[in-house]
Amino acid sequence: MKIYMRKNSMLVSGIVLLAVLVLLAVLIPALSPYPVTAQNAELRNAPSSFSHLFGTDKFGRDIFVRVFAGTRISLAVGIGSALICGMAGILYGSAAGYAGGKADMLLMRAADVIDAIPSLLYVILIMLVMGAGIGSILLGICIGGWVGLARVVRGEIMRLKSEDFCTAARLLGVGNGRLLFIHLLPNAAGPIIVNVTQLIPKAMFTEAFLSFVGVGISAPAASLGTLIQEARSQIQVAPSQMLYPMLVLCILILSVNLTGLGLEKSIGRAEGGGW
Amino acid sequence: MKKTVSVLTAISLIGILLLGGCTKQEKEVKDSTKEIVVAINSETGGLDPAGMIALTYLAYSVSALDELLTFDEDGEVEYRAAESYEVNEESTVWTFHLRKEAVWSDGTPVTSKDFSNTIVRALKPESGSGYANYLFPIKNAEAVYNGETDAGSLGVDTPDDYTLTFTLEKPCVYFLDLLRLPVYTPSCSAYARGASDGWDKNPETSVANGPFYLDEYVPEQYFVLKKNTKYWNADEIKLDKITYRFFADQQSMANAYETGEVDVATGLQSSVMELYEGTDDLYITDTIATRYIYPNLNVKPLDDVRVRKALNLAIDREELCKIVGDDTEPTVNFIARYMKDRQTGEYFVDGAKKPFEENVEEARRLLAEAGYPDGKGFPELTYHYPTLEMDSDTAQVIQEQLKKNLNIDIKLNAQELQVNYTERRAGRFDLCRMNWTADFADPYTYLSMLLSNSTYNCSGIRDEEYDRLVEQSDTEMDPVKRAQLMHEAEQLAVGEKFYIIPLYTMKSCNLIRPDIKGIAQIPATGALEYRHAYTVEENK
Repeated sequence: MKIYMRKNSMLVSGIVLLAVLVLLAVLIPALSPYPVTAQNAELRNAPSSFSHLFGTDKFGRDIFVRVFAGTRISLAVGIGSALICGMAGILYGSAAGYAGGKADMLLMRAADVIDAIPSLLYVILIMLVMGAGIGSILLGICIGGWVGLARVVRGEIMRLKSEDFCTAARLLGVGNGRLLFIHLLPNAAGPIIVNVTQLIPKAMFTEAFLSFVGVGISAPAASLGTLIQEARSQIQVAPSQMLYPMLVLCILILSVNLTGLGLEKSIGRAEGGGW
Repeated sequence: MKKTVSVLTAISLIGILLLGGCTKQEKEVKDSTKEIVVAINSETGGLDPAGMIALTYLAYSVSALDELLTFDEDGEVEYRAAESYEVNEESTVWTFHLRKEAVWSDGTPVTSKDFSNTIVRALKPESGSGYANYLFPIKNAEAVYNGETDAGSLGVDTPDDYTLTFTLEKPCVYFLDLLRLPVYTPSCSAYARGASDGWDKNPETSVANGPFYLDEYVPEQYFVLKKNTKYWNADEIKLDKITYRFFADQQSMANAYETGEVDVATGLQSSVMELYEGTDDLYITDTIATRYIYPNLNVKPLDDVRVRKALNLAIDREELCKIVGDDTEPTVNFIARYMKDRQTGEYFVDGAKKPFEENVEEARRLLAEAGYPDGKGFPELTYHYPTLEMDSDTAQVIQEQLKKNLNIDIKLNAQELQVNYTERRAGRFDLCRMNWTADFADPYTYLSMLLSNSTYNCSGIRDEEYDRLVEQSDTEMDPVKRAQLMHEAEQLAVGEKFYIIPLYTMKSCNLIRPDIKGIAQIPATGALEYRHAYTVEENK
């Protein structure tokens, strides 16, 4: 691990940025004297000052707190969906790859069908049934989000299945479950980890986009996307209200992407592979 | 050789560019003198005066349809489709003589049958007309609507093609004010048969009797009105074309104005006021409207008058308006703040004391009395509102105020405009945002909404005493006594039974290109009318 880190500035900067943002997202809403939804009619559209670092919005709410409360939601959506999609994708893909033949064909075509429908449609439908909220968004993103990973896992398992070590294990009488989970999957860990990491910024971006077009988290809760959306009408009067959440969203997505790319580089180098 | 070719190519390319530029410029100049582009809210409802209509129809009809007569800014009668009228002494039989020279945009004459066509179709409940109840002053109209008798017995007679007679159930002093409503405007009997067969948005069948006719309709995007050269008063109409473009929100409207995409943008958000302050583009008008909330009386605990009163008293409307924008003004009345009393010329609501005063202490006491001390045990109510910025802001402020003042939780549910209308109509809500812009210049446009038989009464209000008071005011011929009865009815509905939660009234913030003149404001509703608009050529 140490060796990976020392020579990989991308990974280091990504992890440091991410750690700082996670820390801020956890601490600031907890420690700030201003609750996330507290309004103050006397202090509307205030510019940045010492008491309100990012100023206030048209309700007189502190933008600094709201931005980092929004970061919490973005992080939760990103990591939550990566975990769910990761689990589903690994299980589904490895089952298809390991079984092969007709089962593989059926499983992968079913996945293609699910993947063919855009996630926006899923989210809108789920919103109608379950109402707006973080759960609906998570479910909407995850319904189709695991398919890409499942394809990668399936390919890896198919490749490894025909390797000598696998045949050897099988000859020694190793059962299916053990062969898959102890011998095959750990060997495919590199590409899986990289792909799961890349799911995080994708989910964050989808959430911000959905909130921006108005089918996201319901008011007055604030995700970074809703904050940008709310600042739209004030853009000519107080442009900074839109600038801060956008900056934080950019840095957040950048940090996760850097981490993903850094991991990809390190693992690729460690395995000596050409990808 | 090679060089000459390339030079020639370059020259010809430049030439093409220049020439192209010339023609385009010429065209723009030609168009801009006779055409305006108006930004309007997203598409809602159809264009059939007898059908389910909303904002889109209202934008269309002010330019395309001629009502029998209307009132100008000084309150004088302005004849449109009719050229004269007579009324009997009891004001129960009204006879209108139509203009013989008036024709539809396809050249066929406008006849009295076209007027009765709209009325008969609107009285079929499946038409979905929200204005059908404004026909009820006509004899037997309510019975026809309820299916108790057939359309033949209706008090609308067409003795000949150019005479239209209304026989009323009882005297109605504001009958002339009603005539500008959709259900009293004509629809061509040659095409308009059903409400749902789509004739209203098809330029071939959607003919108009007003100064403009429908030329093109692209759903969700825009519609184009062209000058009706066969219009009886066509000489007075200067514009050739009005394009209405749909916009999903106010910010995109303001942006479209900023970039020159549209020439007129109405009903913009208040930040535009600050931005355009002092310029000729800004045009602020009073809208005759009230934004309020319907508490659903079929939902516990909103059936308890104490709870409704507590909610009303706990909202700080001053603070609300301060946050929502400079274009709003707090009101505790149901009848629009800016509606004028024709007799006195004063604002009608100033003629009586306010229905109630805000009082947080009293609200807390009432809530405790109703069984929810400090909000304990109070169920979480859901507030439905359309995804318009003003309503979203309002919802967030009210949620915060009720939490702070009464310690109760309100869940917010933003809905697409059309979904919000449908759910409201079906009565599927706890609290629902409502906005009512006056249809005609009489407080009855408001009071009639809460009647037991009103199509806009979606919250289950059934109050016999209120119905009786409104009905009494309806037949009262003495203006002073009538105003008194109407004040009483409002006091009962708003100040005693708290059937609604009034919030604020609005000013409309509009942007209009300074070179467009002649845009008038309809006194009854405060909406803008473009039929006499023209553009002044700027000397460049």
